[in-house]
Amino acid sequence: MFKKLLIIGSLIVCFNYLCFAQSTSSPYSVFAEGQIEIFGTGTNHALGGTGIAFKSKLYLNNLNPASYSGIDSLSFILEAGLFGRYTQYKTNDEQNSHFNANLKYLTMGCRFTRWWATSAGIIPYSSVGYKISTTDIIEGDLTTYYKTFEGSGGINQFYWAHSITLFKNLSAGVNLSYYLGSILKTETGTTTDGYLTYVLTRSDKVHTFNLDYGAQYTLFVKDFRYTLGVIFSEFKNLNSDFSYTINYNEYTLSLDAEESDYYLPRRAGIGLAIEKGMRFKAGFDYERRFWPENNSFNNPLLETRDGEQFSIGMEYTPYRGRGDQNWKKLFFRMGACYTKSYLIIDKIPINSASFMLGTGIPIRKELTMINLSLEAGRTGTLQKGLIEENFLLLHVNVTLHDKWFIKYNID
Amino acid sequence: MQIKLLDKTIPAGLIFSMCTCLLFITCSDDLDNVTVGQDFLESEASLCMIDTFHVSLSTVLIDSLPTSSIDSLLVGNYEDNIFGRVTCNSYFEVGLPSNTEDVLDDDSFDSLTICLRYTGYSYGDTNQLIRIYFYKLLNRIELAETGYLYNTSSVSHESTPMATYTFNPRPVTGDSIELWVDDAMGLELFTMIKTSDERMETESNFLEYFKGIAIVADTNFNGSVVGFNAETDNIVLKLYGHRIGETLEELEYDFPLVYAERQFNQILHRFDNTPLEVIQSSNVAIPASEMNNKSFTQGGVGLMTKVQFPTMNEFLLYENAFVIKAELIIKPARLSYNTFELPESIYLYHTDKYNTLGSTLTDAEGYVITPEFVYDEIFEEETSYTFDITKFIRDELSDSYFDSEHGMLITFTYEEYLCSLKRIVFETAEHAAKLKLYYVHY
Repeated sequence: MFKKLLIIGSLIVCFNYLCFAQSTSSPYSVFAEGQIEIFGTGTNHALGGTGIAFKSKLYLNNLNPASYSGIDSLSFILEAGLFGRYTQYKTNDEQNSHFNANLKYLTMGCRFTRWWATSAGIIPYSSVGYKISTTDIIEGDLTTYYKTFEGSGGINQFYWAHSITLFKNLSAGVNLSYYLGSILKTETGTTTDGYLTYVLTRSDKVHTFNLDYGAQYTLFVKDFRYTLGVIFSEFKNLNSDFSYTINYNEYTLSLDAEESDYYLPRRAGIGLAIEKGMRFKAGFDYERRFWPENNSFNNPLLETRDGEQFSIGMEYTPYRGRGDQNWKKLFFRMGACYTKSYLIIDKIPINSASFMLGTGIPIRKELTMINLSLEAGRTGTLQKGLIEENFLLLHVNVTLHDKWFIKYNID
Repeated sequence: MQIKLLDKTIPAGLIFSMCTCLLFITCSDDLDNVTVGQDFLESEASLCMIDTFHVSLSTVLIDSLPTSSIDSLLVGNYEDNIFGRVTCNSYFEVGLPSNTEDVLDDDSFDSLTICLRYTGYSYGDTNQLIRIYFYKLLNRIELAETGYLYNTSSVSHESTPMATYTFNPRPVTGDSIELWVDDAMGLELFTMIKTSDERMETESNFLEYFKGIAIVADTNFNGSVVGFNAETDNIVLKLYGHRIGETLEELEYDFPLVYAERQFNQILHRFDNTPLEVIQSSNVAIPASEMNNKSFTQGGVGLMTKVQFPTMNEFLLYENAFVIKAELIIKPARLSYNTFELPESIYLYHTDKYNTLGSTLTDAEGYVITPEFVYDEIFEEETSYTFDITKFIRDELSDSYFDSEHGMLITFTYEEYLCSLKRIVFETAEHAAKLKLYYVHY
């Protein structure tokens, strides 16, 4: 067990240092803390991002801290996910594409007592990744020079969730989260001959603790199980240690600047799920992030609004019992998601829509599973010179069940 | 409910490790250049250029330049209506020949000559005749307290020349000149050698007797100033004689130039009827507006153009602006370099309100700044020198006060401004001198 903990520990360290939340490459991530990632594990993704009303059972569902009450006693679940994303950027005039791949998350969960289950993990909260080149003209000289905007980094969420079973049908949960991230944004101007160069660097290191809460109520009607889930978290400012420097020739100067306005918006969500044993489940989620009004992040073109997300998803396995063909042991999942992001650029709201198809492949007795899902989606619009991003996202995640305490018992 | 498994029994740990490895390998953080998206980007900084800060040029006559120990003897006279008249006279000492012991009583005197070698340098029109006079000095050449002699120093000499020479200088094609000196003096020296006169015994005795030579140019001849090599032994007073033995034997006693540190050039100017005539005293900056919108630099004479930026303090009112590059562009006056070739390199020296000549301007790495020279042969309009004076401007601005008294003097290298008469005239008419200030504004 000690060895396993060591492995997990080192994975966490690697995750944080090697591949720090660089999961986005989107020009839309130039604003504030960048693109807010869809929370949730790979399986949640395959289900269109639903999960507020699902229990964690065969795999972890971190959309609702109350869900862990579904973890089987005495089993230990470890999950790691990665993604590969191919994005095509389009404007009215031009087109670019980009591929990036990275670790996405790492999480584990187990049940301590009959009424107390827990989960801990790391997952990106937001990410920044862009490099945009443009040209400008030296004022007073009419010479063209290059300007490049680059951004990288993001915010990771380290969480430790606790789920308490209050009554037979009701569980409640709380997520203790530590948000930690660094966002580096640079603006480089350089003339064609390279003689005149400046680099404006804004580096923000943000961190804060936050709590979010969740509850799930389950009702059994005949063979079906209906679950209602709610989640909520309060608005929280992200503490930022920032530096704003300008570098020109061989000089570097610290500049005065306003502190960046980074915060976690108030968030509330509701989800409905219907399940029939292991064979079928479907869910619908609605989540809203309450962004303070008139926050323009010092950019006159930018307005914010409340972000909204509608998700729908279902899972099905044709498996009926011993003796079925192997393919019937697979899980099939599909989902759809519509997100109204918090961004309104030049009066145009930035929305995205995507569809997901996925499958879960059981590997061994301990219910270890490899989950694959493919997401196809579109963000943004071509209006007013904005960017349309069409993306294909492949999620791969591995769910490991292990017998940590005693041999796994099937109910 | 039990999920039966696929038949393959690959250890899950292995799969997981493989996946993890794969993940780390495929971690791709490199971002391709995305050119889309610039439209809604809010740029926080921009590059700007301003060239409206006033560049004021003035002319300073440096009171005295040390012209001793420079191994170059300048003599001659040239006059034109731009820089006026320049007359160079030179002073030096000669020592004893090394072979005075060889003399015999029957040896007889033939002649005395003086021999000078060209350095190749000349200023003016060498097709014109010049006349130079050689005088015996009346007083010893004495160094000033500073250990130098200056372009303004002089030593009194006899009124009658011991030699006069009128010639067409051949500084490039010729190697040297040798001219006759008054026989009376030659005979006297020869006799002194023969009689082993005590004045011929030691150099100091000799120098008390023969205090040195002044070469003085005749200002009635408007020709050129010529450079002669003034390193020790390169200027020689030659005493010729002969001895009749079995054959006729030529005798030669060389009185070479000694003490190069006491050889100096006196450089006299007369600015009458030129724009420079407004100069009343040295070390005073005369604005170009009082000199026909021109400023002047000439080596030897000590004319230097002073550059100042009287309105630079206004830049301090620009908030959030940092100078990235400062370029000083100055243009030679049109038609001022037909006779005299423009120097390819000119240098900037620090100066203050007392117009003293300081050290050369350097760049941030400590290298002396050299200009980019553009020569517009056809129209002469674009001929210019461009200096990168970023460090100077930035240093001046660094203490949030730009002292406009701090300026720069334009002249040549140390060697050139001391031992040549190189010259340049700058234009200060509109847009002729410019300071291009590139700055980043955020």
